[in-house]
Amino acid sequence: MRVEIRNLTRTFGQTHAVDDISFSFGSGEVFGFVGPNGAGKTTTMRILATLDEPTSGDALLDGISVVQEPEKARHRIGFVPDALPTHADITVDEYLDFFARAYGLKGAKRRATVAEVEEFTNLTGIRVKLLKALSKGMKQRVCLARALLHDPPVLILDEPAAGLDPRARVELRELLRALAGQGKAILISSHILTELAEICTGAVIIEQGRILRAGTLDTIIAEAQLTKKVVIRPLGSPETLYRELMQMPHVSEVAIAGNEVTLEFAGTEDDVCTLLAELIGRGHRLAEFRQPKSNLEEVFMSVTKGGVQ
Amino acid sequence: MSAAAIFDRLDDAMSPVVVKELRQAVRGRFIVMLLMGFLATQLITMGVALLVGAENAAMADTMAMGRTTFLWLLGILLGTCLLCIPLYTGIRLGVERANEDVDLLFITTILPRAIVFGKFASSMLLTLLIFAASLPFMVFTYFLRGIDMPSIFILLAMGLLSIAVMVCLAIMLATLPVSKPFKVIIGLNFAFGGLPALPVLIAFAFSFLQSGGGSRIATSAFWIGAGITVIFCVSACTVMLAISIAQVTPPAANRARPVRIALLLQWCITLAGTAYLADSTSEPVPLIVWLMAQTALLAVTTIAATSERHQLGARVTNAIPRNPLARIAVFPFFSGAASGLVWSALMIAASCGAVYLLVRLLLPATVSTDYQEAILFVADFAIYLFGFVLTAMAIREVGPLAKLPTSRTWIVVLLLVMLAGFIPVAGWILFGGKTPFGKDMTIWMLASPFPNPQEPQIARFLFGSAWLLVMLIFRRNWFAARFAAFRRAAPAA
Repeated sequence: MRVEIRNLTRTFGQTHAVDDISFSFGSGEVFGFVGPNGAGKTTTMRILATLDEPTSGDALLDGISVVQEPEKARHRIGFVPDALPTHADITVDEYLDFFARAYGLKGAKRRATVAEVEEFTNLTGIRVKLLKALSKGMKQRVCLARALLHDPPVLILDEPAAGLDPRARVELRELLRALAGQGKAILISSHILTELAEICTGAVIIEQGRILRAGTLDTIIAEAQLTKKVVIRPLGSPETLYRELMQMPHVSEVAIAGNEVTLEFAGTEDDVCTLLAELIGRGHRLAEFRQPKSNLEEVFMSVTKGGVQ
Repeated sequence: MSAAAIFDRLDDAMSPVVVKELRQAVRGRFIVMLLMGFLATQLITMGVALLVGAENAAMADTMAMGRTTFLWLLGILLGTCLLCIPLYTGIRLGVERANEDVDLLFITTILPRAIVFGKFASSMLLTLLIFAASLPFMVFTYFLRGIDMPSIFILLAMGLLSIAVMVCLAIMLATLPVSKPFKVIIGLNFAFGGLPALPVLIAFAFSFLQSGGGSRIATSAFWIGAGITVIFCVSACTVMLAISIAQVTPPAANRARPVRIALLLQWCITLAGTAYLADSTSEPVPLIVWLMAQTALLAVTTIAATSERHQLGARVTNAIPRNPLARIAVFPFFSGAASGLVWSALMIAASCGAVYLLVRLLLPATVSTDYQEAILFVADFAIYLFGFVLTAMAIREVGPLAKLPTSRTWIVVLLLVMLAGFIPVAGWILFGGKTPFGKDMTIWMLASPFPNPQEPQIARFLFGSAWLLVMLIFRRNWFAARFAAFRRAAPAA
């Protein structure tokens, strides 16, 4: 399964909610969809889920257009919106049974599928509980279970971790890992970037409807890594090290943070090795010498401006 | 096949929406309390009737006891169902429409029509449940004398039909794309507006029983009357459900088609029924009433058409047939402002033409010119209607109104109608007739959309025609562009 978004544009009057975006991801990949509020994430996801129509461009699921053949596309998509189910007077089991019927599942197969999905999402213990009596985390599980009923190869999750407690977040992360392991292509939007980075293989950073960065997580981080950061923890006084570092080539922005010295290094990887050898050669006893990699959050902060439309 | 397998098949055949709605209904407090309250009221009414009957020998002698008790029970039944069931259905659907739940249905393979029919079917099943609870009491009135079994069942069928109409109305209102407060106002208006239907139905039931309606069951006149009533009610339900389906369908789809097909069907069926009535009574009045009702309905569709999209979406384009001739023929049945206006204009012209031809064919001896005046009245009204909608569409595209979404063009139409219809009257009253035009209201009402049927005015007709002509010339490029885009549209391979 390959999901391809091609030159997708969606305008509302004069506002370009989504402005000519293109990216793709495939089976087994978990793609994070990151951007500030109003960036166009939900609009893109709604178009992918066949709930909205683009002004131009298209989204293809293994060549099936969500614009031209929405009915076919629906069989391949499981959508978890940012809103939680609000049906009154209905139990978890009845709610899932209703959606299983709506997806056209019949008789014994329907009952078996609902039971399997309940087990997978750990809902078996609360299947007879009323929806309105559930916590936010449990409702989120119900949403995910509903999206899995027809075993879609593509999952689209809009802010699934919003408002969840740490335990529920960890459980959700494990579920998503398991689903990616089953070969599902997953697009997930979230504001909790540190968590996204843990499960995502790739990311799309979007702002004001335009893509700022897209690709695998390593590529995006590497692209954003303009200057190297080095953190050194000497066993001796950091002040001495600080003074010496200030006089060394390629070194700038030296600072002491506790018993660590941080610096920005403009040289190559060879120059980093030379720096380390030089410091040891000068008799410094170093307990730690490392180059911390940028994370998704830092990349996001460096590439976005926080602009809204 | 085992009983379990048969049950499984039946279960699978049921609409998912019906299953869900009924599960929620039996689990919810409202229906349970409604049913309990209803049964208690029926029981008390029956008890009181028996006590009063035992005390009142005159009532028993005139054999009015069964009839009177039945009318009381019917009043309670219809009062409960006419108010509570449509309200329950409307509120539930309205709430679901206000959040993501219905939206979510569109990512399943369920069709919008299955959603709407499911809501309607589940409401009617709840109604049948209440009817079933009432039936033993109703039948018991037969043993109190003064009423016959056919009358009981005919009046219950009539009640069921009227509830079906009200449920369809509630579903249609709940699906309207308006804000929640506005929806509440409309809902309350219709709920209280619908209440007078109850005394009308009871009065009809009373006169039906008094005149021994049940005894006429074997006559053709009874079945013709009943048939025409059913046809009109079913037509109304079909149109309302078609509008609901269109509202539930995503805007990107060709939402206009089911509505226009349903309207065309009701147009044909009601015209046939009205023609039969006109022929059997040798009077053109039924046809005149039909023409007025159709014109009012088509005026609403015309105003609604102005708020439709101007551009063809990909899904709409995909549904356009490839055959060039078929494309031209189906143009009026596609979503889009231009298609909607063409469809409405054709339907109004066809209505006038049909009434004229039917009167000439069925009632060649008629001397009344009422039908001709009615046709002229409708023609005058239609000219102004299209003058107004084209002007409103042009105004919405310029100045600050250009920011108003296309879907709100209907507001501009209504504002224009108010301006032209009410401000001149207010001005005339304000100046007490001391105006450059003297006390003659004719000139003041020249731009008003409401013609006076008593006074055919050539000045109005000429003014309206000139106005419409100017607007048609002004909008010709817009129409041509829409039609050309439709003809050129390339559906996906």
